[in-house]
Amino acid sequence: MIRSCSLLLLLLFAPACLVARNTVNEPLSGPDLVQLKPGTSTASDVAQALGAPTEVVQLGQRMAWRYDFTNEKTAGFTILILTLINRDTRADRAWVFFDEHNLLLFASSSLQAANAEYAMPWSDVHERD
Amino acid sequence: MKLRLQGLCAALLACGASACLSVAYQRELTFEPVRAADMDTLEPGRSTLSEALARLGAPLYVREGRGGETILAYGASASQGFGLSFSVPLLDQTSASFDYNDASEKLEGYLLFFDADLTLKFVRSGLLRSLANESRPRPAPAS
Repeated sequence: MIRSCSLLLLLLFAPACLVARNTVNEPLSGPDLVQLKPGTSTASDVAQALGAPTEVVQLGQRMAWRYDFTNEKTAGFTILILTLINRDTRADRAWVFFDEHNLLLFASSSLQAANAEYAMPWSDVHERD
Repeated sequence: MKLRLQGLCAALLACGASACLSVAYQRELTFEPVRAADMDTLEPGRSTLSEALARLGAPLYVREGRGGETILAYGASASQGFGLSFSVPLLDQTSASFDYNDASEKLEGYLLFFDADLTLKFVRSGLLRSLANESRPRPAPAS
């Protein structure tokens, strides 16, 4: 009886780990972004290649569309009442700018979502980049 | 023997308490910061929006300024700290979402202001929450 209780107690003291991943939207496709040509592609071409944007911003006569994919990785562990957690959030993002005739002016993308890491709070993540 | 059992029960109770009382050390890293060296290559009065996009990548936010400027916002955040919480979970409900507007409250970085010809006017550094004061009010999202 005492032996099994001790074993149960030991198990309760053992640390509990957690790993979680949370994503928002679909990852952006590099090849789809590359095929957009400033001065040639229209808003319709962009919508066909990338789909509906997450955000549309009016800039006077111009406008800009945002596409994004967010990747959040959480890791941690608990010992009794102490919990250590690290949350690393990174994103793929693309902005496309159109002139007053809905012709593509500029396109810019940053694909960093894949860089999100499961890490402990004391480990270097951004600092290593 | 009785004392040993009492100690065991107390230890078990203490373990059970961890469900409602917790001390948490949490670090949150959000997005990758823009390199200061890349920012230094941009010159107000000379650099264009196209150059800024090429050197810094896609911004977090694009807004229209109150004076008609185009504003690009770049930022990231790294925060950490201890927290103590006591809770009695009655109903757990979570949802997976990431709100760019909420995120701007904690993000720190740069706001780049471009004039009507899309030439860089000036750069401001600090918390991105100031973007709300610099930009034109946006229509409320359709519900």
